Amino acid sequence: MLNMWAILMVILLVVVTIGISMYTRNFNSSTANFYLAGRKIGFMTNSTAICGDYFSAASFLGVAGAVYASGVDGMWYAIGFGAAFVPVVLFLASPLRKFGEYTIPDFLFARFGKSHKARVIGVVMVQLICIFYLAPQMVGAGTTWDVLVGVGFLGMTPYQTGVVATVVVMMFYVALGGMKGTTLNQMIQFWVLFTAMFLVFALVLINGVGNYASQNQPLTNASTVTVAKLMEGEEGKRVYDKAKATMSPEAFATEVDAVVQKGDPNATVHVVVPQVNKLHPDRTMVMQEPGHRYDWLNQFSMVLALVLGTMGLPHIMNRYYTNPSGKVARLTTLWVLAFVAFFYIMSSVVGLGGRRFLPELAGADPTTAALTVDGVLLKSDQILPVLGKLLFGEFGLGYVAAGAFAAMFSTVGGLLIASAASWGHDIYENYVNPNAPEWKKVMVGKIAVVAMSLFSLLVGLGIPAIGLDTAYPSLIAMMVTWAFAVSGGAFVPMLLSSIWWKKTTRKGAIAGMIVGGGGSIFFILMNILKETGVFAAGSFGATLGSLAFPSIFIVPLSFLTIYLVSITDKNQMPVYVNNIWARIHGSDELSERIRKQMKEADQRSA
Amino acid sequence: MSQSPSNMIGHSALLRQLIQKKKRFLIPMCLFFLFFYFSLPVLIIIKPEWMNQAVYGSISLAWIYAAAQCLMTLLLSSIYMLRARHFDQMAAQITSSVESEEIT
Repeated sequence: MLNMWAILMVILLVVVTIGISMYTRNFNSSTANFYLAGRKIGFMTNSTAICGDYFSAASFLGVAGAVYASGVDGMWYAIGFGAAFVPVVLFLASPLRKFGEYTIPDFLFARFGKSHKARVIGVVMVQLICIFYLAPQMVGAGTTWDVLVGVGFLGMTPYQTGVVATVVVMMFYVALGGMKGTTLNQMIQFWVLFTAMFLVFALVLINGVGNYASQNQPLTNASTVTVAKLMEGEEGKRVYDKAKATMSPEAFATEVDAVVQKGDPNATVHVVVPQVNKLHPDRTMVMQEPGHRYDWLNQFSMVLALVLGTMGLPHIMNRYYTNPSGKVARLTTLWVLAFVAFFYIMSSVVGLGGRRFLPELAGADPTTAALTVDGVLLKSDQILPVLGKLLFGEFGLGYVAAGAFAAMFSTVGGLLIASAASWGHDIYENYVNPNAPEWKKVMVGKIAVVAMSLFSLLVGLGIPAIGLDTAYPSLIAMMVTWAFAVSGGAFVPMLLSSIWWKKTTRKGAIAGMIVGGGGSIFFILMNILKETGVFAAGSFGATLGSLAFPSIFIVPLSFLTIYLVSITDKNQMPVYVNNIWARIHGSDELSERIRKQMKEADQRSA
Repeated sequence: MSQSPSNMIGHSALLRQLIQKKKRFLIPMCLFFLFFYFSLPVLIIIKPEWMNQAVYGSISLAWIYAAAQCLMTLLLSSIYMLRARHFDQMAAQITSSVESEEIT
């Protein structure tokens, strides 16, 4: 479907985005300005920018979709993303800001007695996390374009057009605007996506959420199966029979029976069937009760990954360095929490509302009817734009489309800056050409943005090619949770120990990062190989890959590694550990003064 | 390598006291957070019939517990913000005591 409102509003968003980058381009004369916006971002700007970083396509489209499809289970993302800021505010926000470095690798270098090894491993982890987080954004860009704009240019499919268009816009505006431009853009993008969500939320509330959840009827969802699969098993227990008992007679006759009678076993049909309770297979799956998505081990592990992962996300944590003081850093977090809580409550209400409005209104709108089977959406992630259209017409759909692209732009922008800061600042400025003039350093940052953008383009185009999109039903949310699992494993045990346990040694921190980050990636890859069918069912590889989110084992293992390596590594604390401690836990002024003194001492000894 | 004078700040009794105080405050907060957060998945796993009970109108306990998590995050962060002022004051005292040491 070609939607003029959607195209117009997305183009308007792109024009504003690029305009802001042009306006702020002169600001990027030094690396502190390019990467950290001169450390002068106020709490309101910064909190909206953090929310822009945080609310990706997965949050904007995915949470409402998850609640629509699974009920309370879908709330996990809302709860986890929100609660994740509690450990950030309690343990990291203020100490990291006070420590006064640019990036997590910088922190590692300074905390562990100028350890180059720790810094380089930190850079590797930052890049891996950025790639893991960029990948779902690319998938989001492609599928959102496919659904909301629906046309491909230059011989590409709509999915490919979406990925290419997003990467080109991002590359241009991040390289031009630096952190200042990106921050201003993220602020505007945040308000676009927030108001788009609010619009649909308000319309749902005004019209009434409905009582689907409270009816306690079996939870049903739509899916696509082949005729062969449909008729498999003994009569009475086939998917065919379940669908017949669930769907309305008219829908069953046109959607299922008509196709079955043609006799082609490879033809596909859309069915609506009751869902299985994975937590308690003996209980009926209803919307009020969790258990639709994961068994207990994966559920627990996912909840852990969500709550810990935020602490290690480089594009979120780098934002704390842009605050002018520790106090502003804390205030920023409080506002972020308020926005996050309200946003996810809105998403959940929208998801619930979908269960009422789709069956009532979908039939009257041919384009929506094409996306549904018997009043149930085939792809639950489309609930927000579909409701925007059903309740507010084409404009509603256009606004939601702009909101979805705003969500992607702001997250990708933050990731690209974080990744560039890591290549340009941590590697180039320290190891390749330390005496480079400022303009050259900024130039390297921009080249890093372009290189990383092109790499994510390849990842985005490659994901459907290897069949990942068909192996996982809700791929975007899954991939975002993987990014949380990797960041939670790689950085969280290391950051918490090195800020709160003085005896953490360099070797301990490095071992912890390798075990946590490497272990998480290993198990995620095993899961991908299992789900894409590379490992046969029952094989050793399939057993290794049975856990979708490995955090439940990897995070404690990483903590244990840090502890054991640190205690067996006596006398390896950095000489200036007491100074470092005062920098982390002292006042802003004291931290800054000691930082300068240490720098001067370094210069003297050099 | 000889320690620079400022390396003594880390040994300052005041700083040690500040970190101790912070830890005494943060550990119970953190334990409460973990308990409240993880009790939701645990209860769902072991007592699904409790969580599916209608509490207000037809809204089940699971929904209310889930929404309460959002309130809990706001509440804990607000408590921390209030407490952090006190920590900041203590940190400022350390700064001024260091300054007076440097003058003498």
